[in-house]
Amino acid sequence: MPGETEQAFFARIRGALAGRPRSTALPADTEVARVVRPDGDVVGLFIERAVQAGMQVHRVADQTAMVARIGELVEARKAVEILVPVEGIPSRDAVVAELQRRGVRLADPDDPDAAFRAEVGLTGVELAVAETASLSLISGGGRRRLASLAVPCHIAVVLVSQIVADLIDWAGRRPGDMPANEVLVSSHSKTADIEMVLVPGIHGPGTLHVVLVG
Amino acid sequence: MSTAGHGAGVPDFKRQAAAAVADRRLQEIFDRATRQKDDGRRAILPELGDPLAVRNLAAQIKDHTLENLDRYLEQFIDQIRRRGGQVHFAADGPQARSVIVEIARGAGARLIVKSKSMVSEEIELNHDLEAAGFEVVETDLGEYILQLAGEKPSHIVTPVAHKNRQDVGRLFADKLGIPYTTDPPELTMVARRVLREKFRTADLGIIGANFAVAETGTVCIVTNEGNGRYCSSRPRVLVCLMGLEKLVPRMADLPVFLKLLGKSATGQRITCYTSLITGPKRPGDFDGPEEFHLVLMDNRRSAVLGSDYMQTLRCIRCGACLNACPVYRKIGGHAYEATYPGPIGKVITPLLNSLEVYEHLPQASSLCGACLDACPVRIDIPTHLIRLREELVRRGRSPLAFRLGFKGWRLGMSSRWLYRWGAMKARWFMWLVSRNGWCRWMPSTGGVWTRHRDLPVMPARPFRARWAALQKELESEDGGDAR
Repeated sequence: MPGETEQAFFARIRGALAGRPRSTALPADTEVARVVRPDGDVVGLFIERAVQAGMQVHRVADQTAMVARIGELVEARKAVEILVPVEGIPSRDAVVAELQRRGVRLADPDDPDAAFRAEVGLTGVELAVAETASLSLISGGGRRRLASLAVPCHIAVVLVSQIVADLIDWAGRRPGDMPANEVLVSSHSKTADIEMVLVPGIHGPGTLHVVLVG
Repeated sequence: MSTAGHGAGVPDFKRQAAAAVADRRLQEIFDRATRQKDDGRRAILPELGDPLAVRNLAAQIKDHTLENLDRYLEQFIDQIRRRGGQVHFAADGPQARSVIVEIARGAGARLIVKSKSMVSEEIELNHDLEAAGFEVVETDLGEYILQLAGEKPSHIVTPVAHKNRQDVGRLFADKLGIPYTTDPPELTMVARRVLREKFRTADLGIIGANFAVAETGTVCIVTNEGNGRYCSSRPRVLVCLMGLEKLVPRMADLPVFLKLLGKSATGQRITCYTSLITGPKRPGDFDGPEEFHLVLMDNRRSAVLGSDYMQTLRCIRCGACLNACPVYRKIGGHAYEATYPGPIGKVITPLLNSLEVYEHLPQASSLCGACLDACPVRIDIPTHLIRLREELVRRGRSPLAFRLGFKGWRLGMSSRWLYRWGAMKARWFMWLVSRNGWCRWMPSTGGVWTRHRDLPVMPARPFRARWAALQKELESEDGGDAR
């Protein structure tokens, strides 16, 4: 391989730092950057900011209502094909039955190109963050990274108990052994590269529904 | 090669800046684009409660990381290797380019999709990849437009800030064979269709890094469009090209920077997509890259590391200093003829390249400090510009007249009577050579100034005289009230 050795690379860095004081302390915590306290109306703030970020939030009382609402959203979209994860979403069997009852086809779970055809991608979330209305989605367990990306419409199921207050709380719950991929989805895909005119759905979904349960 | 590019020939900042100032269309575009982002930043930063405290915290975390960079880099590399990633080292641009060409060859790649990366612009990566026979596609809309036009970015965050909708409409009609339109949503959807197929069929993805977390071996990239997610999720092989200064120690430090970056760059609470990538896909993962390569690049950063300019390595490339800068707003990005334009570019371009070649950049500032006020990691850009100017004088890169002028100035400023006498003479003299209240020409030493800047005529009555009169007036008013 071209390039240089690790030793040569590090020699320059160590040379540059040699004899310099290493005096700046790493702050013990980052609480001064906290925006949202966990004891307030965290769910209310999440909804408010999700709406500001352009998400369509549907709050439902329980998982039965959640199943019905997902069915309605998919039907309103006139979707023929939908991506449903193998795991990682509540009441999966009921959701699948509801979609089949409405005549929607479930995408082939083994076809890597299915995400490029399906109209809707359904996902759960790992966590949600009220401060920034962020949805944390992780890889693993048969979840597709593209299910929330290559489809024109993303429906995310969020349980009220999954919402944390601040990005600081999100970071605090990251495992030492990170998944290969995690994404914070904080709005739908957009660009403003041409004359600062905001256009949704440049690469990823232009529509993002959050079905909030509880 | 485009005339707007910086790859060709010796930079001629004065000529480029003069041309930009004369270009009314460019002025309008940049004025609108920079003000919109600057206003957005000012509007949202107060959400942080005490933004200054958060900015100081970010600066402190970065300083600590840089002072202990060897340790944190070792930890980061170790974590990446433990997760099956491969780490490559590059001393400079040419090495980084050949490392990536070799990775692409080894992977048997044909089509390469790239997410927006300033460090890849810095080393002009695409040229070598294309010369080696690979198809390389920029996937950020702005970068894609630039690639079609054969131009360079004019802004760190919004690279195509210098083009309007007519420019893009003509370009797409010409290069993609679509009917001419000036509708931004329509143009955007054209790009979506083209790039979607590239994402689907690419075999190698290239990303930069906004941040990297030492304790977990995680690379963090942010995009609004989602192209960074595609590049890091779909192709079989993923290459991350990263400057050595991007680290933060802990996952707990990342929120501080995520909170600041989106707000400072575009006035967003947070960027739409924040991707955290930790090595290649794991067993049981449905998709994701099978190979993960990290290319760590120095490219003179280690020379900045131990120097008086170390602070500049805190930079998170948000572009806030560009949007706030009265000079950048007037001349736009291309006049600098450098990958990194604007205030931060005036400091790091001479440091990462050559002070002699870019000697005009440190001078192109009024030292107003708007950049320091805007910087989310509090880089003291004005002080660093002065430091570079001192270095230029030390290296004898200033004209004799300039040095003589300052000698005279020092003499005049050290005595009250000499100062008064000098000011009186200067007032007469300026009145003689001025027209309509402005001196646009001066002979000899004064010409060093007026060649590039107009000078307003000194007022007929000096400040001290007006001040004394004002004080007398105020005293008599106070006296009147007392009575």
